[in-house]
Order: sequence, then structure tokens, then C-alpha cells
Amino acid sequence: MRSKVLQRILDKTPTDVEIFVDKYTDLVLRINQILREKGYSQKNLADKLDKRPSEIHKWLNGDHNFTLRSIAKLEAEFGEILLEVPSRKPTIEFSSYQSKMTYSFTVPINVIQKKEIIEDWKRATTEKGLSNVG
Amino acid sequence: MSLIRILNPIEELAVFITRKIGDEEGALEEFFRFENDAQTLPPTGRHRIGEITINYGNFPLRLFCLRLSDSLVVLFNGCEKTGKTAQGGRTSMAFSEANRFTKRILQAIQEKELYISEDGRTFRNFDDNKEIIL
Repeated sequence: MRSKVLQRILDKTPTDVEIFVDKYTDLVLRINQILREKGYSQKNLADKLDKRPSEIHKWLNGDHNFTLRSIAKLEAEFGEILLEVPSRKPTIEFSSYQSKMTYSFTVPINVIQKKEIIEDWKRATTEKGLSNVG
Repeated sequence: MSLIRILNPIEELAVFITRKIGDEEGALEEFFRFENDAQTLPPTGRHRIGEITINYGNFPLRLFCLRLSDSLVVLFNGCEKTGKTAQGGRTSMAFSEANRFTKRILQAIQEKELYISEDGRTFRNFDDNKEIIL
């Protein structure tokens, strides 16, 4: 059973904190997974990135906040995607006398050509016309 | 200690423990830092006091725990980290308590006063009582 104090803290936790913890943990797990899979040691990763081993140690052991630049360096070295930004593209518009609707969908950038796994269509915006005019 | 200063890290830690460890990933070894002090090792040498900390730069809090498996972790007290080691600074009291509880829990398991439930997620007293007095 969860303690009442903990539940109160969770209830008051802002969404951005939840998102941060979620993404940061996933990122650290992903990096560790790739290191294991590819058999990197901290020393040879440091050599390949032309960094001091102590700096890589900080990256991987929590004494350093990842920056987009450090993530980019790791992605380039690993040849693997660590972070992915969804690209949202409006693709079709329906217009009528009274309303205009735009439908859009979001696809992960690395599978953009695979139409069959596109997510469900979602209504992005709706602008209602004035029905009582005239 | 200013409550406002540590409120955000407390929220982060709460989300990390309940969502990432509790609901999603389990108590993976890479989420923990383990103390290397030989004094803290129980006789079997298989379990050490761990610190739960979010793996990013200068996370200010330390929460001590006993990690028995991916699905069973005993949380103890924690504090703001002010010293270089767990034994120093403000965490010293919580660390010392964690050591005492750990020794007692492991001893109770060895002497069959406690057992781990079938699903591996809780302790039970030898008489199946949920209330455990060490």
C-alpha cells in the first residue's frame, strides 16, 4: 500500500517533472543498453570521442547533465538514435461554408516511409463558423 | 534545509521510484549506487546498501535502500547529500540506520523469521502476519 505522504507528493507533482524523469531515465537506460550491446568500455568510448575518461565517467555516472550536443556526439559514435523528435505534418484540409478542419498525424522520423504503422488520424484543429449570421 | 529548494528533487524521486522503478522497469541494478564500505556488507556479501539517486548532475538527495532483487527493494531513510561519502555529512545518520536495518532484515531471512512472498514482491512474517517487527 502506498503511503499517504508519497501519494500527496505525487498528486502535487507538476507534469513537466514527470516528463523529465521519464525521458531522462529512458535515455540513461538506452545509453547503457547500447554500451553493453556494442561492448564499449568507458575508456574506449573516451578515446573515440577524444574526451578524457573522467569526462565520460561523469556523463555515464550522473555527475553531468546531458546536453543536446553531448547526446549528438553519442548518437554519432554509436550510430544509433537516442532521442527522437516526432514530426507533425498537417496533410489534409476539409473546408466548407461553415467550418474548416485540419487533420494531422505524427510519425516517428526513422519510419516515415512505412505507411502501415502510421498512428490513428486525429483531428488537430476545428474552426466553427458562425451559424447565426445572416 | 530549505523545503522549497528540495521540493522539486523530492517530486522527481517520488516519480522515479513509483513510476519508473515500481510500474515500468523494475529495480534494475543500474538505478542504484552501492556503497563499497566493507563494514556495510552483510555476512553473505551478496547484498549491499544501495542509494537510490536519479542519474543526473548534482542530484541533491540520497535515499538508502536494500535491493534484494529486481522486484523487491526495502526503502530506508534518506537525506540531502552534503558530504563526499554516505557516511559523512547529513546522510550519516540515515546511512547508519540503513546498515542496522539491513543486517537485521538479512539475519531475519536467514533465521526464517521472515520470508519473501511467492510473487517476490513483499516480505511476510513467519506466521504470515503482514506486520513485521524486527
